[in-house]
Amino acid sequence: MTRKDIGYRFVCALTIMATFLVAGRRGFTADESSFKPPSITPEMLDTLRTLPGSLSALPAVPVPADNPQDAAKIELGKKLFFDTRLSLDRASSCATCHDPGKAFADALPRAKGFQGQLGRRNSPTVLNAAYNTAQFWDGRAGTLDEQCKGPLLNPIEMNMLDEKHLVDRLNSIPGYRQDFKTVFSSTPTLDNVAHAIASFERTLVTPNSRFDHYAAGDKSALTQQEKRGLLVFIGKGACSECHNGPNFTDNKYYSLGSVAAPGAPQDTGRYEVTKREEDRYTYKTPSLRNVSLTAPYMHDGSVATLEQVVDFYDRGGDGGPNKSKLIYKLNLTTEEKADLIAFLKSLNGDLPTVKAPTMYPEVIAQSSEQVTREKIAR
Amino acid sequence: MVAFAMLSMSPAHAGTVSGKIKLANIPDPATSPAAGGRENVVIWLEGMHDAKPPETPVKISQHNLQFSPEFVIAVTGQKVEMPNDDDVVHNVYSFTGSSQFNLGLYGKGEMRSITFDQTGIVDVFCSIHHQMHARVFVVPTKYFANSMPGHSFTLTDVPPGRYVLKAWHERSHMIEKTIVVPASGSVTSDILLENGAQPATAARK
Repeated sequence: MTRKDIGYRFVCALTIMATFLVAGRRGFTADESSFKPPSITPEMLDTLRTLPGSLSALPAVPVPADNPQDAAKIELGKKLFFDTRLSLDRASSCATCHDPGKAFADALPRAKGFQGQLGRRNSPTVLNAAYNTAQFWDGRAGTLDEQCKGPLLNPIEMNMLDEKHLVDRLNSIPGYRQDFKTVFSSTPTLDNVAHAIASFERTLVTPNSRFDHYAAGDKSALTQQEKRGLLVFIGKGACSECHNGPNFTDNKYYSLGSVAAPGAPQDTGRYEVTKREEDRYTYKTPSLRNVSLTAPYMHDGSVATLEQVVDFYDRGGDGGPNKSKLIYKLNLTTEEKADLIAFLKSLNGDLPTVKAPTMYPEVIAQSSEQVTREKIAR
Repeated sequence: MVAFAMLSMSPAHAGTVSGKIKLANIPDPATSPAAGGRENVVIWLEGMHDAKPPETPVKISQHNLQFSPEFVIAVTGQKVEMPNDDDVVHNVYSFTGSSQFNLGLYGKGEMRSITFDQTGIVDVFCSIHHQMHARVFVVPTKYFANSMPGHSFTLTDVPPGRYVLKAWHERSHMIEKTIVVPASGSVTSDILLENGAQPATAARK
């Protein structure tokens, strides 16, 4: 081919391309309408060596070096988790909002705390929280050990007045005095309470979902529909852009453009922790494991069903502020939405069977009750 | 032919070609709503035989569900790498003429690459994310520059010879000029871009 020939072809190409580019840079023009983009099949998915977004089967639970797991500590943590005496009015325990019968969440839009007060946000499940590197919707705690101190002392949650109040309450229960001595060689402290509860929570994991088996190499573990749904998840739906890693969360913060309901309490999300403008109205990506068991959804529980969540993302979120550029109109078909939801249901793993333990009897401690009465009188 | 004879000699001597890119009746890309980042002006020389394409590959990343950058210039035979830096899969393909390709499904941390042996513009898409679109402008020589209207361009280390300097802009006629690069020294050749659409419309009336 001569150089002149190359040049001529080039100019022809440019002429054609110019028409195309002017007509519609981001789409196909009439001339290309017969052209079908290569389609993606579940069979192609099966050939991927690793899944994108580091999606994988649940690994072993990470355990912090300063709080190793042991059976006695886990048992103590379980007792504390279910004990309503860890709240000022002896009405609520961790299990009130993290109910084993409700996938360790509460099935309410917003958490109900001290004497029926409504919190601002939806109770997240404790299931698999041990895998997360950020806790709370705004990430104000990094570890479970830090996290579980929060609700104990939060005035609209369990409302214990301070560490001394909590310690007095536990010291009034001889069984706990003995357990803390055995497990920590110490009297109860806020840190020890937190370590014990966190140790118990590290047992609340849900391996063996059908997705886990698929990710581990059993290509028959998912149905064709679930595989199509996984393709939507890692492809057109771009869900795994944020819901990635073995626990289906990147532990990062985004605004989805949600619009707060009229009269909802003010909530600026991650901004309250960092005071950085870019964090305004952003919330942590939640895990999607067992997601079909943890309705309602979003940080404020404003979306009732999984179908509505998918519709929300499909329309590119709503018009709220600071919306992430990763949230855009998806144009999913009815079939793709159904496939996606089928896939999400394959993320349900083996739920831990936990029964509320028998509580230690209490010897009324004068000091603790005085504090209580003072508080209520105020 | 004179140019070829000179080119085949040792490239001990080399010159510089530079110039300014001026706008005639083209809307200012900074303010025109139609511009959308399409301000690229590609300048290259024709009339030489490059020994081999540059070894450094051109890279188009897939990041945040966009190609990045969305416009690259590659030399024929030069490797164009397309790494997936997203947490989703992509399927990169093109239906552009003889440069058609389909890189298949691949995920984060994986890379596929391709080379083009035809000059021209290759439109690159993802079959999953239809909003993703990149263009590879394939030129026949490593003596090229990417500039913008109102800016200047410089081609360095050009072997002495007679060349056709070409300039492309999306909304301009193709510019072609013959230039002679001396054994040493520089050539200045300004480029005046003119809107290609307007005169054509007028001529039909």
